[in-house]
Amino acid sequence: MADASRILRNASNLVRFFVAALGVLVLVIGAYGVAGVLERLRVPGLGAFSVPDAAVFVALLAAFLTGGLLLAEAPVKLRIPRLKPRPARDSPASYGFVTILAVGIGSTLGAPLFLLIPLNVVEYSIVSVISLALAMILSIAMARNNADSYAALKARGLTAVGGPAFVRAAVGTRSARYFIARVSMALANTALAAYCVLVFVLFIFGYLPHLLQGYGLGGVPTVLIVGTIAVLFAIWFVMNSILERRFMRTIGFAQIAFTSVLVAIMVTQSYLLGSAGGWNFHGLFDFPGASGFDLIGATLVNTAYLYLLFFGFQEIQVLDREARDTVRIPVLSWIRKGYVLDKKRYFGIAMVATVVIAGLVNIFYALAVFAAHPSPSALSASQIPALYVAESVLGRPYEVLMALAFMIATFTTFVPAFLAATRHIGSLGEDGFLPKSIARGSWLLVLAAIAFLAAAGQEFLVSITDYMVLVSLGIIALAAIWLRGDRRRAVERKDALALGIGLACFVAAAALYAVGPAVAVFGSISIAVAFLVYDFFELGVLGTKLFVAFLDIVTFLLLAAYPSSFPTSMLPVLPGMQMAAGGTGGLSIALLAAAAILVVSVVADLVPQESPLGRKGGETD
Amino acid sequence: MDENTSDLAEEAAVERVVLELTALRGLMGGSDEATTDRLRERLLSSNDEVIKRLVSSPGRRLPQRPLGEVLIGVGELILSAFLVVGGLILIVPSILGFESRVDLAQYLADLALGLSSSGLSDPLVGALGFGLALFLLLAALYTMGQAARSLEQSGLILRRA
Repeated sequence: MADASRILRNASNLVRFFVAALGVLVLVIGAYGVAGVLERLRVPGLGAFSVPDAAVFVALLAAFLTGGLLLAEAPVKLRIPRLKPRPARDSPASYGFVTILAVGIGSTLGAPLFLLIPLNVVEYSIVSVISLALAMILSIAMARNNADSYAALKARGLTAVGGPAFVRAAVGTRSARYFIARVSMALANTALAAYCVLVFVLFIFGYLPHLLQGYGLGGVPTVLIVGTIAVLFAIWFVMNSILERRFMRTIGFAQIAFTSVLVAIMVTQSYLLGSAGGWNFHGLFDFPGASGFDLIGATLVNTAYLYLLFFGFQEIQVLDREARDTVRIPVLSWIRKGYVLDKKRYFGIAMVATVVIAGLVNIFYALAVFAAHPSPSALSASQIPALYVAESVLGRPYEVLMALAFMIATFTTFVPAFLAATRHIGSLGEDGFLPKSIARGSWLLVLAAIAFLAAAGQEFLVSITDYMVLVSLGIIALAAIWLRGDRRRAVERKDALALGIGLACFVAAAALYAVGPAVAVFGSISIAVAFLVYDFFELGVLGTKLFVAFLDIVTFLLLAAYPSSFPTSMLPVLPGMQMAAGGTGGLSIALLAAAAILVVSVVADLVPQESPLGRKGGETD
Repeated sequence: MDENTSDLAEEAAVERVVLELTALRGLMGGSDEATTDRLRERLLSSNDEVIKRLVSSPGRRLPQRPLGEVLIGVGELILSAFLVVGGLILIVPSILGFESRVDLAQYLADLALGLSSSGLSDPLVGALGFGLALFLLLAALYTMGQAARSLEQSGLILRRA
């Protein structure tokens, strides 16, 4: 009996091994084909894209899904062992109001400010200023709405970490709305972190050496300074991501110092820039040939585009565990002895104050740059426009000062964005959407995603961050409505704020199509993929296998209806692949075989269990 | 206290718990699922083993017609597969960066005209197509039955006496 069981187990392992091998083969075919499609797209002067081409591309996507599922059938011995969860270490909350405010402002005033505002205000003048004001108003309303949701949850004794937590509290973990809000926010933060990395690399390897050489520094001192900055960046990153608990107080003090210096430099530079130009706003309202509708449309699109400069205020909510329950407020608590605020109230105040301060700094700087009237062509040609403006209008010492502000802004934006992305993925693990071992390695996933996204370029990263964050914030805003249970009608007057913000976010996200259709396509596809992944979780293993089996069959029919050639690639992936690439016969057979295997696998999984079909209806387990 | 009195007291206590839970639901707000999640989380953290067992092993009621439910589920999966492939076919040009209106118009025209009769003449294609169509029809009929029951439960339609 034991022998029979062992033989059966060995046979099962052998079959699983072959199924996993087929999975690898299907994945290789998929990767080879996609590489071929991408290579074909790079050929200049390519003609129209045909339906058979699309059919092959869809079949390749199905092959990826199928290959992944078949690979999951590998014998247990071949799978990556799961890591044991580490017990979470806790430390006493030590952040007060000023630290929370400093973190909020530091996360909001980031590297994008130095690139986007000077170019935007010179190109769109008053439209740019109105857009900044609108984005600020939208963010204030959002901060107020989030503060209300936070207070409502706190009153019920629930922990609310980050915006998507409101959605989870309102609609539950098993909800597509929650999943999409969480994934969109993770992707937005990853894109923002990638943007910071991109501009920081551009700065320390492209801009800084020239700046230092301008001061007569030789090669060795330049390398030393660049190296020191890179090491400081790494130390700040490690302190925040790995040693956060140990250095909590130090990080808090450093954050206050960084933010104070950053705001002081920005305000001083803005004042000096505006004064240098005599606060001359000539041309601010000039839009030759543009109608009222054009201006409204441009304002809407520009507001969405510049929203990236505001959404950092949400970082405050993430500090729930680090923040003290009650705090003294500077000045107010000195005047009125014993005046303290609880977390429910001061978090809301800190969020609104963050948006107001960051918004005023942004608008003041935008007006100052416009008043300085820098050359639009020189501005476009410069790598970091804010540094160019400082150097060309105020002189080299001010450029150095602005470079310092730029570095601080990058430091204080990259780290929170990176940590937020890892936290969002970690939360998906806690909610059961990801294996906990994978969720614990979320930092690695985020780093890989940063490397991938950084290749997309600055413009795309700005827009995709805007798009994903607006979609996520729209859902988070609506969560305030879903949180209220005491309702008699679907929509009531008290829902107006949340509904208005939610709609504004979705309209602004849709307006980004005008900036670049690729962003809307990529963003929408990302959301659709997130929804698909969520559906797979809902379907479970058996349901997913059945779905992919049917997808393979339908794709097989598609390939039969629109025969095409297999997209060949120069990659030497598999011997004999070039020969098999004459048609899509191999791909069709692989998909059909995989579909059969998946159906057999479902049946094999069901047989050992008590068949649900055999039970009488109405019985309970 | 006799057995009858004890049963009545027990019944009244259970009734009170149910009423309290209903009131609590109104108090907590949010969706049904979210409220259930929160309640379950709170009850699981209690030290009472009976409460923990009650919450962690919720009774799962089997459907009235298991075969019908399976057919509906599988039929919906097939329909989803068709919809996913259809949606992807329409969006692939945009994913790959073909944004010109002329290209897209030509692409959509090809979609109808580009069907190959040679590919479709394969007997395997005919058999698979027939099988899927039959399954979809069967699933659709069961889904209609399910829809009728849902409408009846909602009070929108009345079953004949």
